[in-house]
Formats: sequence, C-alpha cells, structure tokens
Amino acid sequence: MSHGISNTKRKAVLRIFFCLLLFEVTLFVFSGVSFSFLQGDRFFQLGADPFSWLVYGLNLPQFILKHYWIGFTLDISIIVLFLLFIRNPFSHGLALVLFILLFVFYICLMGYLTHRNYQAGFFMVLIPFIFKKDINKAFAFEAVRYFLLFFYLSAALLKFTNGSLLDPAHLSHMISGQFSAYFLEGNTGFRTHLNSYLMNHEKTGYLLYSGSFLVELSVIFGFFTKRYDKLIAVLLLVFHLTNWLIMDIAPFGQITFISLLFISHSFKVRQDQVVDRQLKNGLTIL
Amino acid sequence: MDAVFFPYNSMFAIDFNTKNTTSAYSVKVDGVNVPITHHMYWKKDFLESSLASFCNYKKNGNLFYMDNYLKQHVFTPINRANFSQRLIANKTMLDRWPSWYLNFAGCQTPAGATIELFQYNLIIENNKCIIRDSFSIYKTTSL
Repeated sequence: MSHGISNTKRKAVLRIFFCLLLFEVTLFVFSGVSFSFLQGDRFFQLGADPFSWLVYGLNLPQFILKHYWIGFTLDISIIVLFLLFIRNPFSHGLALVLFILLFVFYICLMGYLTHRNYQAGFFMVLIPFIFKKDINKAFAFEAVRYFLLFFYLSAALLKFTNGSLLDPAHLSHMISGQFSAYFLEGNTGFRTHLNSYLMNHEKTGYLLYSGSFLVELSVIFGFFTKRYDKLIAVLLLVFHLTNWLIMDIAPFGQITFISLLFISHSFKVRQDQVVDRQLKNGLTIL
Repeated sequence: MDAVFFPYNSMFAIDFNTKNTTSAYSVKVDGVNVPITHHMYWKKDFLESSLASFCNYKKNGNLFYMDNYLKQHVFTPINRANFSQRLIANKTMLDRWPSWYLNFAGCQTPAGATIELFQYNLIIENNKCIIRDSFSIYKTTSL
C-alpha cells in the first residue's frame, strides 16, 4: 500500500472501512434475509448466469437452507470473522474466507429473491484484500476500481444509446409502477406523494434523469486520474440515496464498494515494486 | 445486472413497459390482503420479487426460465435431468411455498385458511395508478 503512510494510520483507516462493511452486512440480518431467516424456502429461480449455476450446481444454497443450524452458524461466523478482520485488516486469509462466504450468500439471496440486484459490491470490495503482497493488492484494487467505474459509466452509455435521454417523459412513465405495492396497501406517505408528483411533472422528472446521467458519466474522469475519486464517490452516494427516495431501491450492499474511492490513494503501485516484479519474471528493464 | 460479473447495468435506461399499464401482486388470507411494504428494504424487496416470480411461474404452467433454457441448450436427456435437479427448484415442494411466504412475511395463518395469490392490473391514467382489474392466480389452503 501507499509508501510513507504508517501502518497504524492504514490500520485505522481500514478498520473504519470494514466497520462500514460490517454494518451493511448486518443490515441483511436485521432486515431478515440472512441464511437463518431464509430457512425452509424452496422456491428459487436462476437466469443465464454461469456463476449462479456453479454455486447452485454444487447444491450449496439448497443444502444451507434445508438445515437451520448451518444457516445460523454461517450467519454467526460471518459476523465473528468480520470482527476478527476489523481487528487485523491485513489478514488476507480472513479476507478470502469472508469473500467466499459473502459471495455464496449473494448468489443464494439473488436466487431465492429471484432477481439479480445490482448491490454486489459488498463481496467485491474484499477482492483487493485477499492478496498477501502489497503489489498484488494494489493491482487487484485497480481492477476492482475499474470495474466499479465501468459499472456506472455503462449505465450512462446505455441511457445515451437507448435514446431515453431524448424522451422527456421517460422517468415519469418508468416510475409509475415502482410504488404500486404501496398504493395497493394504502401505505402512502412522503415517497408515494413524491412518486405521484414526478408522474405528473415530466419536466422535473427529466431534470432528475438528466442529473443521474451526468453523475454516471462523470465517473469517466476516474479512468484518467484518481484526483477526483472522492468527489465521484460523493456524487455516486448522493445518486444512490436519491434513487432510494424516488425508485425505492436502497444502496445497502453497495455503499462500502463505492467508498473504496475514498481510500484509492492508499493503493499505489510503487515503481520499485513494479521493477522488482519484472526482474523476478525475467524481463529486462530498459 | 443480468449476471454477477457481467457489468450490464441498464439502470433504467430502458422502459420495458411501452403501454400505460403495470401489474402488482398480493397474497390474501381468507380474503384479506397481507401487507409487505412495511418491512425493511431487503425483506420488502424479497417479498415483492419472489411473489411476482412465483405468480409468473404459476401463470406459465409451472415452468421456469431454466426449463426452457435447458430444453434449448442441453439435448442429452440424462444431462438435462442432472442440470434440472440442481438448477431448478423441486416442483413437488412448491405448492407449500405460499405458507412459507406468509410465515416469512410475519403473517400467522390458522390451519385450513384459504391462501390466494392475486394479480392486480393497473393503468396509468391522468398520471395516477388506477386498478383496472384483478384476478386470482393460485389458491391453496395453509398447512
């Protein structure tokens, strides 16, 4: 990690970072969708996704949800491992175990929820930390960071290529079904009023939609420099909070992933580390 | 995302609903709607999405997407059977799913109560959601 920053300071930063991740993971438990709570569910649906096929092909989610004690043990284990990991955030072994457990949980949850939600960041965020050497951590971080940027940039590009930016009524029409369950139950309040308002005011909806496009497009700067990473992170978090308000899609599971941009300067590949790696691989340094 | 690591993310770039209609699903126990929207986000999303999928499963004659996918891509019957066993939910157990769903939603149902899954078709008129009609998709009794 970054040359010149003390280990104590790095540890403190990472501890705060993983406390945030633990908070997001415990939200799954408090919401009531962790392994323990999904026990007995037999209805799942998969799409054309080889990673889901791999996990379900090994019969893992089906086995876990048939045996309560396994689900309960996994839930407790994840939290305990997280506490140990926060105590020692440099432990690549703990990071690897947590990555595997959270990946299996994500695949399990999405299969039984029967929809692949976008909030996959809560296991992806651990990828850089499963590597032991700093240089490998740094390269893995760059890959994860690029994936994060591409994820949001692709959303902007798709808005552009699908022509939805040219349709002022696009957002107003699209949100019409988002709160239908709330209207059916008569569970109305500020957000359903806002939903009705936006359905009635296309210009305001179009302004918000254009704003979301600009936020998603702004991540393009991240491909060229890390100077604006913190600003990009703030914009993305504001975008997600607004998305939660307007579209009823909460960012829980994605917040820590975006927050990687706040610590992007901690993952720098030093030139001497690159030279060492090249010499080890038998490359000639020109 | 359509797949875990494939970064296809439409993020509402496409409005798949070209008409001014939308649908919603609900569960009734002895004729009374079971509320789900008061739960925390992930549970509410789970209850909404899984119910919609189960209703579509019933409407499609107890067929999943993977049923058709395997039929089109796996031609050997033995392989298809093996894949189906792992990648498709056990259909013999699914008639009990509404009881599990209600328990998960926090609704205590007495034994023998009538559980009915309803689809509501709504139209968007004058920028308001109005119920056009509703119909029962599946009916069972609680265990």
